[in-house]
Amino acid sequence: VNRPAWHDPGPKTVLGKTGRFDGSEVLDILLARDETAEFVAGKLWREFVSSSPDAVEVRRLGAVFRDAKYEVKPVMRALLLSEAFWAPENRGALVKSPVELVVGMLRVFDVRPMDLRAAAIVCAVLGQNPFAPPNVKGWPGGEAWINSATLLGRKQAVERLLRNDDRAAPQAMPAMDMRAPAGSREERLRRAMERGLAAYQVDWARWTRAAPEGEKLQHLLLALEPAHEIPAAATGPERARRLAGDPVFQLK
Amino acid sequence: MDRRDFLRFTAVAPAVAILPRLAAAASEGRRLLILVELKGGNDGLNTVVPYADANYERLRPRLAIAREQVIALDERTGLHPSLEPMLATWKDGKLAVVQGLGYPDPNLSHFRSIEIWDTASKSDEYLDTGWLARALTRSPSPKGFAADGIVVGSADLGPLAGGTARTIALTNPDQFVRNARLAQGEGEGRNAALRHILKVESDVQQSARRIAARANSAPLFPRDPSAMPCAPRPSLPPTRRGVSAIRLTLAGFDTHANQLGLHATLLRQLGEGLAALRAALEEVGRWDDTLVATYSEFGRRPRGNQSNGTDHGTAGSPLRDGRRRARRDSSVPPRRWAASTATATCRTPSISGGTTRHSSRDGGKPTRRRCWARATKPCPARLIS
Repeated sequence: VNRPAWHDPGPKTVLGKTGRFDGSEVLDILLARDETAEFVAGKLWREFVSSSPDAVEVRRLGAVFRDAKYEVKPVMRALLLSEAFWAPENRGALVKSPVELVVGMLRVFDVRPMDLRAAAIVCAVLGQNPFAPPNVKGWPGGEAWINSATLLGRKQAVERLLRNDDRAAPQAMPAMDMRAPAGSREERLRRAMERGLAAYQVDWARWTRAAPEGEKLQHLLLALEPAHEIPAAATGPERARRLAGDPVFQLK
Repeated sequence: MDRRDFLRFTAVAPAVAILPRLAAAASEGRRLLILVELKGGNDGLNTVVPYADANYERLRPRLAIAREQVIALDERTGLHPSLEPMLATWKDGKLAVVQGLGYPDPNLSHFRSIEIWDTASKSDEYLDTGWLARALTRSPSPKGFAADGIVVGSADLGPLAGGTARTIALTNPDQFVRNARLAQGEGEGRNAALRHILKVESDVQQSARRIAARANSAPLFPRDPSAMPCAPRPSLPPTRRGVSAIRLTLAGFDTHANQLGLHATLLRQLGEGLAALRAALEEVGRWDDTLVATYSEFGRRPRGNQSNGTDHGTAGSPLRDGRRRARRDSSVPPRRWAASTATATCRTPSISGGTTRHSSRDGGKPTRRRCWARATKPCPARLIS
């Protein structure tokens, strides 16, 4: 809806250029600058490589992005083929976001949920309510994902999902308790997470048939050597549980 | 228990529950700071009401608190009726109100403005660490403290974020202690991210041990605020498990629409919560060396909007509570309350950091908001005590 009366049509100065710009002309001014592509390249770096972007590389990737007329594929290709992406010191250097952790677990342990509501609630408890960032700036990400509350929440989610019990997996979400529960919003969410995770279950028999063992299992689950030693006696599902309980499981 | 009842008490309940475990000792001369964040931008003018000023009712024909309902503090200023539980503290001379507290070049976006408050940065400066985290890094808590700071019921650590300070975030102390077994608390970090995780694990372990090992396990506070214990219990044996700062968050203060009832409920939660905190602190013998302070990202505009609410303003009127409240300030009271309790700006909220959905409805008419307080210079904050 265009409401001309709500607009100020007077001349404006944007980054040194003055004129009567409309919205897309302002975007053109932004896109004409190197910083715009470098800003995006820096964000990609923090998502895929490390939390400390290399200024020279970010300039190079920014140029690739801009030269390709802001096509995403070329800059992703350049990023994923860069030496930094493959450098050993950048392995496991980033903290998984709650969505990466939860979806990653469901996939790697081959959980096939009927209903993703519980997964969304887990993400919310861990600080990432899907599609609802705290503000226009988005989630701060990186190490800010981890504080004492969210770290214990992550570990609890891992433990609950990978629990060892023989009950048949329920087919759907258990009925929500409709009584007004006591406690703060955080507490109610946390209880909803615990209830919801009860609906998810790893089929350990199926998983064991397909799962790798030893070294390969570790490489499947962890980006780095575990921080704590896993006893050799722990095998199969028990080994998987211990690897997923290791702090390194929080990294990507 | 109806919804209002439990809402009322939960914002401070975890803090109240944890106080006897952590604050039961005036440890090694370290005082306790309790910060209460009023998230969303609390309306300072309806919290501490300038009831004697004609402008107040003129600008808020539908939002002004009726003069006879205001709890008068002096001949010009009074508290919102919902803050009645604070009256006892006021009469004891233990409550101070700072009117018109803001910062130069105020930012009207929620997240940027709270970032400025939390990091104590200039308006155009970006800092990574919270002001309390910096202070606690410079002056760490005594050995044996469960943590430097505790953040209750909020995902972000606010003024306690970053630095080397040990900050614990929790929503429920018992659950925290139960889950702490999941943290292993040792190991070698090969990169910064892993070192951070291992530090949090080890902080969790240390704190949980100390929180769990409390001297008195009787529930100190019943859920029902009316059943509050009034007689102090026998004092707990002195311990060294302390904490330097606690931050609580009470959300929902972004009252763009239908403010009157909403704000009354919020302030009742605040008033009862602060009274409960005081009772808890007195019970553990810490009231004398504790400062409780409220803060908010900004205040709200003096003029009400078309949706019976108020839009983002600049300065607010935080409260200081506790025997350690700030001393009477010598600053001159501003000539006009409006200039200081909430300096209005001409900016409409729709341009403040993507908060378009908050903008007031002006019936589609492009009204040009008159900015009657713009000409007045920023005044020193006025402190009533």
